[in-house]
Amino acid sequence: MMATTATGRAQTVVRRIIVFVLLLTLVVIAAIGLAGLIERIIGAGATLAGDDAGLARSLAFAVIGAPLAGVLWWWERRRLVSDVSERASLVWTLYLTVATLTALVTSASALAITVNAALDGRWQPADAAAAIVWAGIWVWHRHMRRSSATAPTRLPLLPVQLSALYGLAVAASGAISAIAALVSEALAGVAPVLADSRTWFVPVLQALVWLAVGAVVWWWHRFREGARDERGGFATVVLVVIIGASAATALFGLGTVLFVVLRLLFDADAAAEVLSPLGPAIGAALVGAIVWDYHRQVMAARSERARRAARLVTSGVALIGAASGFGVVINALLATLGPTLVDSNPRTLLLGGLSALVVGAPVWWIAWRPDRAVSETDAGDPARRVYLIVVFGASAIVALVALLVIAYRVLEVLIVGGAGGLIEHIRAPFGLLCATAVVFAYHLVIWRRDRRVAPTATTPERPALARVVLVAGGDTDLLATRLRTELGVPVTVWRTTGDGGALGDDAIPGLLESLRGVPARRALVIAEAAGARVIPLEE
Amino acid sequence: MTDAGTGAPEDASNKSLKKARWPLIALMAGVAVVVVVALIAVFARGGPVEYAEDTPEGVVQRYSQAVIDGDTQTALRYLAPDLADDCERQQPGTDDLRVTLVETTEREDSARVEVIVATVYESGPFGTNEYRSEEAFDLVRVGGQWYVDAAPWQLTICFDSGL
Repeated sequence: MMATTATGRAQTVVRRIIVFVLLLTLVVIAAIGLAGLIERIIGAGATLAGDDAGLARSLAFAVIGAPLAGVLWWWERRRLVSDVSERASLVWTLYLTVATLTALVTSASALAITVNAALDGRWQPADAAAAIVWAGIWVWHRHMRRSSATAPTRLPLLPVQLSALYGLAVAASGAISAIAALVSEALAGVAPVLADSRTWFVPVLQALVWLAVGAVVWWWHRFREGARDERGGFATVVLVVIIGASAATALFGLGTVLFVVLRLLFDADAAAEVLSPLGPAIGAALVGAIVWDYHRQVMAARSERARRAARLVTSGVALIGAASGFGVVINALLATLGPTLVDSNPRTLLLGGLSALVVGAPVWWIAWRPDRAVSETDAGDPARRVYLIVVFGASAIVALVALLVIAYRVLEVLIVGGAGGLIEHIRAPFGLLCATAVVFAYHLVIWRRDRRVAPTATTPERPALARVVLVAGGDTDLLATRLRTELGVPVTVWRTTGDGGALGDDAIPGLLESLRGVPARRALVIAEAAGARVIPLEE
Repeated sequence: MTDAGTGAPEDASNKSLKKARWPLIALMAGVAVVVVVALIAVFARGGPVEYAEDTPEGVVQRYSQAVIDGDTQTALRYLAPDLADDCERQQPGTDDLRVTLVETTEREDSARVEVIVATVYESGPFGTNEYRSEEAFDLVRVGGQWYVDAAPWQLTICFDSGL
């Protein structure tokens, strides 16, 4: 009986995977065909010579793809409506996520490309057709996601979160490009433009188009589709990733601005060459800082654990900047020692390293707060332990690569000769190795101190509940969903074959209460009409 | 709990805090010393060591500097006379170049100067994006003076002849 159930479940999973891969393929084929046909209609005036083979392909794709996709969806929809477990399947959520994101990314970029080409005086019917068709597919999948008959019950907001992330990334890069183009134009006095095929404001407007498209996508998904109100684990991970990425962008931009300023003051190179990275750097610093600050404020309302994770990510980003800067300073120092015939100015190298160090070190200090006394809770925080292990791992990898390069060059000199070039070859890896050694030494001290302060921190007194295994008969979905949402932990359902009856609604609050007080990370719940039994499980 | 009872752990934690700080202070001091030494070394240095003009290294140094500066006339003076006369000039690139001496092999009337030529494409806060390759200059002695007979492609100023 058990074997039959397992086989049946495997069959269902394989069937779902095949159906959704097929549906996705058919949707893409139909979209390509339809876009080709629409392109012929809206671009008819611009065609100089007909491409009949292309027309045949578009027709075949549309005629085969669209009806088959429709039939397959009609069949699958009936299953989704009639079978609740179909809607709770992860494969359904993944299909919706992939299809929604593909449609959104393709239509949004095609729209921006069409508008940008129009600003440049060109009409691109192929992109306009793609924008129209994929926008339709996006609307269709949005309806699937929101319709009460077909809406997924597991991770329902996954496509929304990722769409908002895509919008933010596009808007940020558009804003950076717009500022870069503006600054470059403002610097025309120092770096005169001798010839340009475009009017100066066209690149600015084109970047603003990307900004507008990205901003609308982000705003729509964040505020209208509910990405803002999502508090689950995935939403927090996305938030931490955004904070890390925006911090990295802002700090890199700020470091480059400082580098340009230092080079203007202390370097002899031509101003136009020194100023060339200034536009993108100012854009990255400003936009990165705005995105960072906004999400820092969003993070302020989240749990202490999430805030700590964000602080650790910021600290890690700043540490990478500061350590790389220190490595480059050593590299520049060694560049002065070799037997150089013609120099490329080690000042530039040194000023670059100093910029990274000067920007990275204070941010690391503020995020990591090394001057603060470490409490037992801090020292035992799993996120902090993971951070330290990641630092050790990354240091080990960097050190290994650097050591290999250095050993290769030293042995080459010993075996082949040519000692004069040794410093030139090893100065960059040697700088990295020194920086890594400093980072490793500091964090090793922290690790050992943490272990002293909170030696038992890995096994907290009362571990938080992390997983529930529910054994129940009858309609278990309602109870499982309730446990999932109320406790915020994954629930695995094992259905019983005998009919012990379903747990009454009035018993659920009591069950939740006893689960909240359970002294283990995993708990087994046996729910029957007679009542629920909670059994804490060992690791 | 008495006053002494609350005071003792505080003292102990202060002591351990101070004890915990010294590695950070030591490492920060180390970083500061390296930065200061690097600043002094880079800014106090006038430029590369100048090799004597009658040595192969000195000729390679002057020739390379002239090519990098775009001063073709000066560069031609360091070429072997027969090559300089037939030179069909080409424009050298404008990338930043750094030439480091590896070793010199000097014979009766010829010499070979091995170098590392680093082409610097761009600089940023995380260092430079550069390509390094080991190259060699061949030199000949004519009338007691060293002349460049073959140069790496990055420092070539004549078509076909390898210069």
